[in-house]
Amino acid sequence: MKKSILLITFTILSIAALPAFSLTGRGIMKKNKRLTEASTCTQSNVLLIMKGNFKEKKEYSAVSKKYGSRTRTRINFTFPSRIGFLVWDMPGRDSRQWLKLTSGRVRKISSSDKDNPWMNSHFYNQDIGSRDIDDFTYSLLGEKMYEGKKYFQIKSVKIKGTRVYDKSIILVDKQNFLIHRIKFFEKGRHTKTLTLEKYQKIQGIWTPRKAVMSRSDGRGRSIMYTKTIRYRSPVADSSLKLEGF
Amino acid sequence: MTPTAILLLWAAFISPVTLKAESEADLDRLISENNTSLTSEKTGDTDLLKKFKIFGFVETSNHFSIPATGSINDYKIIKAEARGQLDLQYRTGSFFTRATLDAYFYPETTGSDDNSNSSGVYHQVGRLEAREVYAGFGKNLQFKIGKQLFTWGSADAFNVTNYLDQPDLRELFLRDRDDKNRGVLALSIKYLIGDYALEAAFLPIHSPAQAPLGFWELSPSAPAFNVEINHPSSAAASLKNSAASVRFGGTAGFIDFHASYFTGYNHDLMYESAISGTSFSERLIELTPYFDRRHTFGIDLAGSLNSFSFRGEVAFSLNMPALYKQDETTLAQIYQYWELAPNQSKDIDTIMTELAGGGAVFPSGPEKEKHISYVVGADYNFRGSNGLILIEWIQGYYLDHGNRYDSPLFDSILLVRIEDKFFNEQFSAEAGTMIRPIQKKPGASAFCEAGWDFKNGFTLNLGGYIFFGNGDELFESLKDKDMLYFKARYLIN
Repeated sequence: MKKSILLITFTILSIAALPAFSLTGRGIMKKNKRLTEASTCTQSNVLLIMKGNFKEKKEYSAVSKKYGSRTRTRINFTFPSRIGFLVWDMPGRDSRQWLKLTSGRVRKISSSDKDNPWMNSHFYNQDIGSRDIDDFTYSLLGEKMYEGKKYFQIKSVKIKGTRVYDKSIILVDKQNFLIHRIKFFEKGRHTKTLTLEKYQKIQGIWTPRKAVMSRSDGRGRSIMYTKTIRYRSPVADSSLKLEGF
Repeated sequence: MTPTAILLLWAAFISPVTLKAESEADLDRLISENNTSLTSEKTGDTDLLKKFKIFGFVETSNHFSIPATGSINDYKIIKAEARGQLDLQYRTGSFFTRATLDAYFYPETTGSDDNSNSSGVYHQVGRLEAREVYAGFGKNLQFKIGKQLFTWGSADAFNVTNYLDQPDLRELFLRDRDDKNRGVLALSIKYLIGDYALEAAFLPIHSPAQAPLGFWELSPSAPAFNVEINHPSSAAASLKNSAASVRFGGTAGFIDFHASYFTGYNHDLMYESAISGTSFSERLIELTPYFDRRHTFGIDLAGSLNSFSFRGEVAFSLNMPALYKQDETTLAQIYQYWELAPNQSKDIDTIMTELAGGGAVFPSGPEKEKHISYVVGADYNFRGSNGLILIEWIQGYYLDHGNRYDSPLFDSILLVRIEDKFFNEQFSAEAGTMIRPIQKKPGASAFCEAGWDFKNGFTLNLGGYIFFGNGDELFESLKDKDMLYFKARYLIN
């Protein structure tokens, strides 16, 4: 009897502890996705680009809306020049992109060259836009202490669409499942690191207000600041259509 | 140095202060302080959702002709222009309105050069122009009324399916690519159906293409005759001279497409020639812009594959206006008639009647013929997204009796352009050529431009054009108009 009670107690305790130990890389990323997802998002950003002595500031605003697993985003650069982009992200496929010139003409642009710099910054074209969780595989490498906090360390490899990075190593906060840092590897070498900072809870969604993409050799970095942001505001579908661009 | 140039140079050097004011530390502080206000309606207003937007630029644009002598003393100022553009946009709910206004100023100069106005430069007067002024409402079903740009067509340099916009050819190729068309008075409707749209437009008055003026005025030649070009005037403002168009299209897979129909006056620059004069010494060919109605069906496509983008347009007209060529035999016969009796005063109709009685055949008035025109183009991105090679070809021809008729001004032209940016996109360079390989009379132009972007809204551009004519209708009249230009612009946001 005593043995049965002990066995049952042990089993119950094991089941209670099970979620913590059964977390997979994919499971952790799903938790993160649930924390950071919203159906619509409108924001205004500042992009600072620093390359040696060269410094540049760009300002833009963006509106995005999810349609199931697809995302449509409209980006308007307001400084130093005014150009608009319309981007349709689709899981497992290259995105479709259009450029609106100052003449009003809309030009379809090639969406390849995902490893090209985005707006002359250290972010690649691939780094901008939505990431569909099903386009990647995730492997939990273990836990890591970093700056006094515990993180999950996850290896991510893109399996659908154009692959720019061999792999990414993601640090996810063990307590709140927020991504702190991502290291990107190209041709076997660590080339860039993305650090997400200044998380703030906005309309119930944890939002990094500062994203720093820095070269691993220390020769430059680009910082994306989110100045203002609003989630779940009504976004007219017409503004995210080619014919309404 | 003009006041505008001084202002622009000040902007180039003062504006870096703005960048310093919003450094990393400033922005770190800003986002830390703004936490509680982020959910408010006001701070959530991004540029895309702002009700009222205002932006524009100030610019100085200066053109200099390169003399055939090569002597610096013979350079002429073709244009010394200060320009300001203001773009005002307001949107609230479903209502929206926009006004894009251009103000042009020219310095006062004195001089008595030929072909110049009292300002001493070529046909330029201070003026205010509205590129677009319209109001509208709706989201999926949009109505818009006023002066508006349609920018139909997928090609970059030449569009045969952009029936509606008013081509601005006053400076021919030296017009900014953004300025090659101006808005037209119209009532338009757009209905968005999923990723497609059905559009219709009604233009109550005819807005003819703005023909080359002053220095850029075409100077076609004819054997032993003087040639004079009359400037275009629009057709009378009446409903029978109105135009209408419908278009359906959208994006399907990786192809953007549109199918369209247009009825109205053609915008191509076509000149009807008439021989005039009553005596040998007054012999003259007058060229008058000709407009007539046509029914045109068009298709345009655009797509991209890897680093290539391709685009094409085709327009088929059932009844394109067709003007007979003023053939040399006709001119020779009339010239000979006058030469034999130089002091005889007879009007040209009488002369032609007499010659016709002797067996001469003269072309009759304008015809209407089936016509097809098309544009095909492709571009390739290299060195990331900064480098671009663009190739585009435009051609049109009458399906029947094509050799009888004159071609529109922009016809059978191959454009090749290469552009790239360096030094963190601060330095831009482009070069290219336009070639008109028309059988035995090819013409061409070569152009290049270099620019510097100060990354604070201020840009400088320097470029030039060289023309090679060989008897074709376009480049032949431009072959002595090689020129350099300098432009400085400051964006206002």
